[in-house]
Amino acid sequence: MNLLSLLDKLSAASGPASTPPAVVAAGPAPYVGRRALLRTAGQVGVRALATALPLAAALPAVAGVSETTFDSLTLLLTLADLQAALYTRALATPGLVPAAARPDLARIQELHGLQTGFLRGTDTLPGLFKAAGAVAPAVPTFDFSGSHQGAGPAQFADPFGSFDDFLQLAQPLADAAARIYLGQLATLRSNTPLLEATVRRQAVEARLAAHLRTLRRGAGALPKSWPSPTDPAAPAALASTQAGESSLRQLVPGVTGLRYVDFNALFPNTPVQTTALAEAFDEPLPLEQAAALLALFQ
Amino acid sequence: MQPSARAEYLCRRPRLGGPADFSLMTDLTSSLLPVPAPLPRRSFLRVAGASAATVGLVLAGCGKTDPQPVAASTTLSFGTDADTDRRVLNYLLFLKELEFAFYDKVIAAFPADLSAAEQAYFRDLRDHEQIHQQVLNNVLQVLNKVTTAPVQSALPFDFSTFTLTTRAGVLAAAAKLEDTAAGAFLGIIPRLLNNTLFTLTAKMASVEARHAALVRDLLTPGSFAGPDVLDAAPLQAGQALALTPTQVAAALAPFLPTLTINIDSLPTA
Repeated sequence: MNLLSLLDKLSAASGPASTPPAVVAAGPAPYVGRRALLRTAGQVGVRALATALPLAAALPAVAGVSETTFDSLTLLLTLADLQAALYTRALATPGLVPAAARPDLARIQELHGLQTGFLRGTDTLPGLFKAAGAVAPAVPTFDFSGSHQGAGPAQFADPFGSFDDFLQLAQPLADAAARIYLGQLATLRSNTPLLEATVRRQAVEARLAAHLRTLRRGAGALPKSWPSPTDPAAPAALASTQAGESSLRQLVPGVTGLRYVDFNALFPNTPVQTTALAEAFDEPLPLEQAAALLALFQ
Repeated sequence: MQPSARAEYLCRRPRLGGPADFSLMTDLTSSLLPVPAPLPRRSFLRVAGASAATVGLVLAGCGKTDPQPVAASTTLSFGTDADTDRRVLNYLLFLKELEFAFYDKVIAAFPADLSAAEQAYFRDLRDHEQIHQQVLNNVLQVLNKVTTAPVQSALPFDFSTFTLTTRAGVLAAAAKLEDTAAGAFLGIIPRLLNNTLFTLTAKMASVEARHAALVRDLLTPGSFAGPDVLDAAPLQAGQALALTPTQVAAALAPFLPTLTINIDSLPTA
């Protein structure tokens, strides 16, 4: 998925000049609006994905796979590629990672490798895309300075210059990864094995994000292991990783429809700390913000 | 209520997860060994003073139908509501009440070697669990059309098998409960039918995973995503371990020794 061209089409304002992706002709009546733009050129219809999931080998056929399942998995694969590349490069940079943190980063790198293998395939497993008869996108070339391979100014400090600078990128990115997985769960809802795999993967991303916060913790015991109103602000380019996290209400099902549970009403005498109200729920990062964040590094 | 002969038998069962043993996989493996035959179903009595429509956690009272000579037994079940989502909510609420009770107990008497920063984390952990509990309560309250706040069910949790007088003991206990709750969420929330509930509980599950990572790291730095909490199956490589209600009931039975946790009414597929 060429995320830059995707964003070019999604936003009303003009973005980087690019060739719009060809729209896949197969399938039922196309989605209207922005969703139609999320199809990737030349790919196999994704309804095949349902019947060929390695996870579904022993399970009954699943219904309700939509075109956007493919886009969702493409997004998650790019995210996994990005994080795998970040940690691989960090571990390969001499003198960057302190000895005490090396095993942790190696573990994180390993887990991201397992996710890319799950999606793209390994020597022993075909991977989700191939099993469905689709082609996984190639591993992109990432530029972790945010300068789009020199096309613009660097958006943040070189993450491979010092461990602090590395964490300043890696930690918000890890939080964003957990949020991006949360954001994609709704899209994958209709496919039970895939949903289960993704929600379990999201939990791993949450653990990784918590650990990066632990690594980053310093004076004042901040940041906490979860997104909090007490967090220091992320670099401007990474603002989306924090946007929307401090929510004081949650959408819940009611008797006749959906309603909001308002924390201020639920805890009028604040037996809990005010900061805990926003901390208690991690918030999803929607597709557009997720795609924009990943495009920052390509 | 006097513990019955059956309840005493339950109390004498080997405890899972003693203070120094928090390998979840070991505990799960031991729970999969041949176990005594399940208790016959008991007739149910409501919790005294609570209406039928409140929280939904039900205690079974004195049995009349069982032929075996036991005086009484008690069972915790998650309701038989036609809406299976509410049964799942009751189950999640039970997990939250357990965790909240645990953290409340720890906070009431911190071990001397728990640092001030760590004590602050425990307050955060308790607050998060309380918020989760109250949100789930609120959802159930509205769905059950109950206008008065439910009586706090005050389940008779028993954490005496944990060592809560030392930092290591408290962290190990927290790790066990958080890992169990995190796995329990993953094992049940895909069974929810309502999309909004699924999203809500997935957000909670994410925070549970963070909790688990924190307390594990405090106990053993670098153990945030150890192999004991990840799925070992090759097709699920790199995914967190989901626990079935059966596994969860077995893991948490030691902390509710006077009750049998009956997960039969929870959706399985």
